[in-house]
Amino acid sequence: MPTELPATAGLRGQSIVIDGLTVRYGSFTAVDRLSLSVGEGELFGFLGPNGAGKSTTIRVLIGASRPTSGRVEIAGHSLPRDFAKVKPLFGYVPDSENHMEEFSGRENLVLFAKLYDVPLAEVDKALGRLELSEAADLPVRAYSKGMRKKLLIAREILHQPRILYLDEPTANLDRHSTEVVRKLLRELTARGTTVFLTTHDMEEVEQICDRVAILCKGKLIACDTPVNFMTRHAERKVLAQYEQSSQVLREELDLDDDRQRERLANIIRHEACVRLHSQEFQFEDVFLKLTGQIYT
Amino acid sequence: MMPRLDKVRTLVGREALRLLKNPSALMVLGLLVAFSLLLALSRNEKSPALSCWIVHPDSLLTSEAGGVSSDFIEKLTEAAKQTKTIRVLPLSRIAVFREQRMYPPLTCAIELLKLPADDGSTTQLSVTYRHPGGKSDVLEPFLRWFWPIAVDHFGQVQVVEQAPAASRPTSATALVMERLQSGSLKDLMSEELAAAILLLVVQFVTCCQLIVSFTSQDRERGTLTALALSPITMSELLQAKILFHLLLSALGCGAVIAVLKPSALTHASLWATLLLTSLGLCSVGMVIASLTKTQSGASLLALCYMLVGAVVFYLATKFSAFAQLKSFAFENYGFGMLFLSLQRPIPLARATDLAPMLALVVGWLTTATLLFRTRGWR
Repeated sequence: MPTELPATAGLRGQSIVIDGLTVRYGSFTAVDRLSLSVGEGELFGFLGPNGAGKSTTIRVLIGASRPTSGRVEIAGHSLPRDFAKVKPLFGYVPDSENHMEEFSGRENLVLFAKLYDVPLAEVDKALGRLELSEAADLPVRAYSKGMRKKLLIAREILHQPRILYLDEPTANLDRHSTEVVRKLLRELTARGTTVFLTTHDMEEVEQICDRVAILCKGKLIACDTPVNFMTRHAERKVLAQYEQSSQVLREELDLDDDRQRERLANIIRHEACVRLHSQEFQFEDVFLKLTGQIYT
Repeated sequence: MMPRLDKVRTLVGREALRLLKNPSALMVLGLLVAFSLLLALSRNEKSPALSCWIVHPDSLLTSEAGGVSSDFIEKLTEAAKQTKTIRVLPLSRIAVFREQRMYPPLTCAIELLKLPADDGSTTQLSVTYRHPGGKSDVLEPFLRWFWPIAVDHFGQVQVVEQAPAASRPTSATALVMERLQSGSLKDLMSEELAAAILLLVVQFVTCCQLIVSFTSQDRERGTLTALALSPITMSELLQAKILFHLLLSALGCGAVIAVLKPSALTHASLWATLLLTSLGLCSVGMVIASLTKTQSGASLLALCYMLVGAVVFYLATKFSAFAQLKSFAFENYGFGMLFLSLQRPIPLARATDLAPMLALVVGWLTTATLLFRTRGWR
């Protein structure tokens, strides 16, 4: 029985619909009755610890793996049946680079521009957007990891896909390049491109994702907007530090507990309080709380 | 669905650019063509000067035996001093290998041997000629020198028994040793045989080795996935790969034929055989690349294919029970057809080996297509 569809894409048209997707390798279930939908122009984050089934799901979405059961629709086309129709509609940035290393960055992009029937002028534009113009004629084997990643993104936005899958797009990027990529992703979604990304960067999730799904052991355990996640799961705590009998003491107090709230008031009223620090709840804490494990 | 020619052309261009940026692959092809040039040069080189050793039993120097006196050896030795190419030596100076007397390369020999006469009372002199390579006429100048002295000494020719020219060694090893003594590869094999072997090697390198190497490299680093996810179809990708390697093979084989046997360039049966063999080897390469996930695994599987082929051919030629095995290998027909087509044009209607070869190649191609489309890029 498929799980109930979680928060859907609202009024926007749906680019990706996954219903009861199950992928098994022998007796091992990599994805277990996953159901979700992603709307047009939505920036969707897909999170989960290692082995949660994220990559398997993406492989099904790009047509590289066949589902054991369940339904997958991309822009109204069913997979794997309509694979040929779906291919031109998406771009896929894998976690490991897959360039032709002996070719220059430009030669790599020109090849794909020809395959997608994209005017060659777009190659220079894409290189420029990812700040790779200066290195365009160097062989890719001379590129740093970050440059290779940016070249991958440049390659996959050449044909202006309706859906862009990204597997850890900002891994190995420096702070500036990370910002360049995030800005690019926001521009793409503003133009109506659906972005489906996996990432290990919780700050990225908080900053740019419209919605986030958390997968654990192949099962979808939560799907919502980052703000809703924070509101629903945030724990309000205060760290109080005070002096008593020449000793500095520390206490962590939960503001949602009446007795602890009263204790905090007493500390403020009667003790020599030296420090009060409100502990801000991070998205990483939500993840930890829901999956029971640190994001690796 | 018909292949889109512009996409196929783009992909063929990618393969060509990749080859140009791969120095080791270019070097292998260059070396193969250079090797054919060397073969052609060795074919045209002038025959080197031969020398001749006249060898005799040591006892001839010290005693008379059956009317043969040591004077004859002395006459020969004296006359040999007038030339630079003839030496008279006792038999004990000649090295023996597996009961065969071994002579230096490019050396003829006139062996004088004592044989007991039929009545056992006298000894006759037997003369055996040996020469390097397969042509006995190289002995002629030395015989012109030897015979007058022999007739002069013995008075009558019939005293000397003429043995057949150069007794043939029986074992394959001895045969090769004898041939190698000729000092020329062209004597070891005919030029058609050398060209046919070289053509097979060129085809194996361009169609099987390179296609396995390039495709498995594509697969290992994910490039094949990237291409497969673009709008091109798997059939277009496969066609482009095979087309490029066929063109490369045609170029390499054309160069080898132009160098070694230019007259065969117009033989239609030769090109038909080359096309089928190359197509078959490309298909084998695609099957190997589709079955393995890494480049090293693919290289090992290609090596296994070669070794299995060698074992099959050995079994088929050594044991009649396995004789039919080789009829399942298109290379078997290919090699024979290449050899014959290099010698003379064969009308396609009479080239009966092409039909089973075509059937086998179609089988390999179908397997390659199915495997590549279903699991080659995943």
